Amino acid sequence: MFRISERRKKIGIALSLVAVFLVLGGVAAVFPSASNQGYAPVQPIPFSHQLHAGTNKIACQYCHTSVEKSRHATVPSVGICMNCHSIVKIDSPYIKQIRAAYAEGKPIEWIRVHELPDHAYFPHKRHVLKGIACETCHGNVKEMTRIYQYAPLTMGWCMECHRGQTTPKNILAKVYPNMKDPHGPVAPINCSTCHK
Amino acid sequence: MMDKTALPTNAEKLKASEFVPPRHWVGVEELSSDYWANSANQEKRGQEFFEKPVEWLSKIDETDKAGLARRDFLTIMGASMAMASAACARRPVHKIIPYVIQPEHITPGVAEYYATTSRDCPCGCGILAKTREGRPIKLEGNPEHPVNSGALCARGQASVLNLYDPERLKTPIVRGKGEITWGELDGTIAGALKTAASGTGRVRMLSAPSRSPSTTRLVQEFLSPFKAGAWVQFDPMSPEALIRAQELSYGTALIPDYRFDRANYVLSLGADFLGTWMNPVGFAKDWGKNRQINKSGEKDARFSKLVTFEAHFSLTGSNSDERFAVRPGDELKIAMAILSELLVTQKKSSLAGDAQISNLLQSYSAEKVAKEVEIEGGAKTLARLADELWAARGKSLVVGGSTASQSETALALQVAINFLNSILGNDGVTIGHGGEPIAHAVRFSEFLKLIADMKAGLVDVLFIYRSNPIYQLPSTLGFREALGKVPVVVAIADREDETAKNAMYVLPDHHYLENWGDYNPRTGVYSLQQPTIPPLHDTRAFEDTLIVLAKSSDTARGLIAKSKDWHEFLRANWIESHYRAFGAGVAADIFWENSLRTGVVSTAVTGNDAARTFKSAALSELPKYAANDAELSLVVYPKISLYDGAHANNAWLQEMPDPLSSVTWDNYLNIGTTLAQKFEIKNDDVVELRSGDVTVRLPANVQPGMHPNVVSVALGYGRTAVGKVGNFAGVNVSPFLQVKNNQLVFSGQPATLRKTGEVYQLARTQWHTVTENRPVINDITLAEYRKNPGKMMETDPELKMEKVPSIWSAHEYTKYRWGMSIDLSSCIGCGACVIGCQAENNIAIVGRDQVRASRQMHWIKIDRYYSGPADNPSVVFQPMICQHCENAPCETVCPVLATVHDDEGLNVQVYNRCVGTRYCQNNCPYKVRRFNFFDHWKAYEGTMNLAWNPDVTVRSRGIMEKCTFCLQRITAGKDAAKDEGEKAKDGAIKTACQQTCPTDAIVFGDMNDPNSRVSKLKKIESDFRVLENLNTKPAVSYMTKVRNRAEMASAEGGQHA
Repeated sequence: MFRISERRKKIGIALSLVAVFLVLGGVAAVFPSASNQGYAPVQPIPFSHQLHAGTNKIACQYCHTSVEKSRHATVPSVGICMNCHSIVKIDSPYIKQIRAAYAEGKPIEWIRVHELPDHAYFPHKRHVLKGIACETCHGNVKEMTRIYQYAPLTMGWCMECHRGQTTPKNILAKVYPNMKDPHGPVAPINCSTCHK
Repeated sequence: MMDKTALPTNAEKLKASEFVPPRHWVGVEELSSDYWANSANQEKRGQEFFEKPVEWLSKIDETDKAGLARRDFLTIMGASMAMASAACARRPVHKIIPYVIQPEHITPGVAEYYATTSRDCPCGCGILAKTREGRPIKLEGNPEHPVNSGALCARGQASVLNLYDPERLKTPIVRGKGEITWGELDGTIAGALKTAASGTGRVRMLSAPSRSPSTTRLVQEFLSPFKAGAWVQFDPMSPEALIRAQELSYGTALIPDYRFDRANYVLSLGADFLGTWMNPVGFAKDWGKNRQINKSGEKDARFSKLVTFEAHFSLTGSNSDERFAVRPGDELKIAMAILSELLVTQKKSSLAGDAQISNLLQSYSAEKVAKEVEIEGGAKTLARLADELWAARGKSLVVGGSTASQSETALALQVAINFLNSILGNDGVTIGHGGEPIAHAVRFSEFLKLIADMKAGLVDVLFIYRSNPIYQLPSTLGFREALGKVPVVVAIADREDETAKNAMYVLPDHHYLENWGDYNPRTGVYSLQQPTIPPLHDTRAFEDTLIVLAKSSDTARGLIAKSKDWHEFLRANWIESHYRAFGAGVAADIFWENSLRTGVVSTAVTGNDAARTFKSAALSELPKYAANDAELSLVVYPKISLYDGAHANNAWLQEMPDPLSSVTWDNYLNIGTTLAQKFEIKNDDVVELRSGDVTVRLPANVQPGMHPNVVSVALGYGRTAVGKVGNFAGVNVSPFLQVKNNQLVFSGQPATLRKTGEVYQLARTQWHTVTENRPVINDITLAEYRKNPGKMMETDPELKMEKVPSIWSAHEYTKYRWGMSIDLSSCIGCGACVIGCQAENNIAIVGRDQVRASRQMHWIKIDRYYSGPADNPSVVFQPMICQHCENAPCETVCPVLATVHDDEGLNVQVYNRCVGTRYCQNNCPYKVRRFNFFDHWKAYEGTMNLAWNPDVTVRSRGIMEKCTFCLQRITAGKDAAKDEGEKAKDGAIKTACQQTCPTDAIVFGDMNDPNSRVSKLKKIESDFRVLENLNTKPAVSYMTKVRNRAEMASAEGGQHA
């Protein structure tokens, strides 16, 4: 009968372990996490949310005009900047850039920060109208001098909220008005809810 | 005969002595016992897929650049593994580019609709163009428009793709020099016009017949300063014989207003009014109103009858309750025989005593005609039809005159039809003629005179606006040579087509979605056209070109002189013409804006017009009886997809299966079963067709229901200068057209055939999704329906729901449960839904070779089934889509849960989960799933990418897709309802196929709501589910096809046994 020595056994186990690590490592390398949490690219104009939304207390919807009307919140047009900056701080070099863009009719090319995967269709409108605060997903923008991706924006993260696990209290209370300690699913979790 | 309805098993079919052909059949071969005895056929039919999807790696390089051979695949995968491990995970940087100044009315992500008018064909349907961020992505019928009431045909749906055609002409060009600026061009042409104005003034305009009042005024004003200026309006498809016959019969040349909704009985003598004749969408809509017996829920409801005599098997013929195949020219004899029966034999009209009329009609006795034309049932049939027509007098309608009946006797046929309608008291009731008639100065003789003038050197400047005679007419007319004799030829076209290639200057025109305009589709209806997108290229509207040229040549007169541009001209003319009639109570500016919003102003048709007196002098046009002894006659007809071929570069239309033959991408010779046997011609055999001096080679399509002495070929193919999609697809048959008595003759030319021995595989979708031997269709005669609408469900074991104990637990639906009901009695098989779905759902084009390999991607397929004898079968169309089964066979086999049920009853396909095992496609008994073998979306080039619907994923290679019930439209509907804080109202959410259906055959809605329309329909007895015995519990159900005739046809017997 064929017998395996102890030493060979140990080598075998060690080699198998190495193989498993290699495979797992390979998989991790090929399929990295889809999340870009923390992504904070340098924008063509160093627009500060901290100054506008924080110090000056401008409401989010003043600039992100379609957030209650469309699936896109939309990045504001130069025209909206000019509502104030035709008078305010017109000598600043960055404002000059904006005024030049406005005068020439050339749009500013912002770097996209928040981007969902290709097959997901997320409507800002329904979430905002339901009473979910912008900060829930975008973080405390009022303190961000440069905007960054606050939440993971992965499917699992969306689902946790839809299932009621991480849902803000005010939303839970709206969905379950008669419950003392409101809990439970708050939104549909069909594939077709987001994937069209 | 009804006891034969149960389908025999294959084993039974083998016993030839007892052979019973299937009640419904797809191909004529199924009618022979040999077919069923053949073991290869048996094996084929037992397969999951009737035709196995073909896997040819050798072809991949040709068909798709993304395709890779296996070795390359391994090499690249190895390399990419290494790179993926090394590279960082950061995705590519994307930019957000907002507006500089956002237009007030635009919200990114929210669609805007503009009311405008469809102008890629002469019908003038009103449309609502759906635009997203300033680009039109989908056209839908304008529900408020009297011409089409919300529906739109396949060509109308597809015309948005013409806008984005990458092969449109983008800049003006001068022959020999290439591109030129508009400024230079205007200077040169204006110079020529100046010379003409002060000299001979021989300026000619050649265009399709104009039904735009403002364009007409503009062209007339433009030509007015030129002494010998003339406008020749020409379109080979225009119903000139009909208009002339109206003039001869009643005194005024006009296109009457056909009111199919008032007709209980329609006799069509060759007019394909449901498919290609005049205004098919509006006609189908009106005709369909009397075919809604299923949906009315009352078995005694009104149900009209349609009888057709035709030379080609048209869509109208396939929807007829009784259809008779005749030779071209025989339609006249039928009309005369019915007149003879009514007037001479039965003496029914007051005109019966007129000796002149009886003398003429006597030679057309029913016996004589029935014998020569070989009408089934003989003279008795004609007498019965005459009786039925007489019984329905005042509520019947006789029409005729598609190209298939445009033989040498076309004018006589129209006169006979007018006479018949007058005798039947239809004139003024089902045929309207009130109001201001549309000016139709269309005479083919004028076009012939233009050619003669050009040849004689009598034309100095010729404008050709969107007219392509070099392609549309036989070269023997000499238009090309005549062009060479004209010093200045200016072609205004959307591309450098066959005619524009011979012009000195070619000026690119706007697409209609980029342009202003108005249209007068029928008496009392004025439709407005407005731009939905700024011009994509350096093009200029034809009308602006005329205004600029008039001004720069100092010949501007009238309103041209007062208008800055076409928009101003149109606005002024619109207000001048319509403000008084339609603008009561508002300022002119407001009236203009209201018109833009509604897209149309119209006077409603109420009551009857007075019956016109038929002028018996017109009867002199009717020829003496002459026997037709032609061995073989040719019919040239337009197809529902390509029509006259002007938009042959539209891939959606090229890949749209023909309703009857199911062939895509080519034209072919339709040949009847008897004739095919005689010549031993099978499907796809290449045949040499000869008529006169013209010979073409075409693949054959054995078409049941063609007359044994007739062959037919479609127009619109074989373009040479339309673009890479349409060039050399099929064969151009316009050389077969003839000119007789200054009239264009499409049909009735004697022809000969020769089999070449070559084979050309037509890309037909006929057998792609055959559901083994399981019957899926249900039809019934009207008389039986009146007794018991659910009869077939009780007698047909396959359609009867067996109580199968279900092993699945039922789904729970708390809010909505979507379902659909499709009425087979209303569906006419026009294919509008196929293209509507394609535009809505980003459905890819696969190309001819891939269709041959059964890889077409249409989510909705119109299956066509025949019943009855092969030489004159009856047809039923069945739109087949994903059935959204409650117990979906696809869901249980997917290894990665990529197809699952949602809590609103939808069977959803999750593209990002799908790994492409195709198990679901195998397991689907309805064969409605489509697999992306390649990155088919890459066939969209350049500007075509602007046509995508941003609310629907563009599917890539290796994944499965299928009908979603227009998930994005459901989402949008629910979203709008939530804004109001309620559930979506019944009828508020419409699928794309339902929205565009001209006959309202499709009803979609919430089955959870017992009061919804779809819930009510599903309770009606004639509602059935396909393959219900499989316990799939589909959410889609169908309603029985009802035929208004005495007895159902069977394969071995006649229709009227």
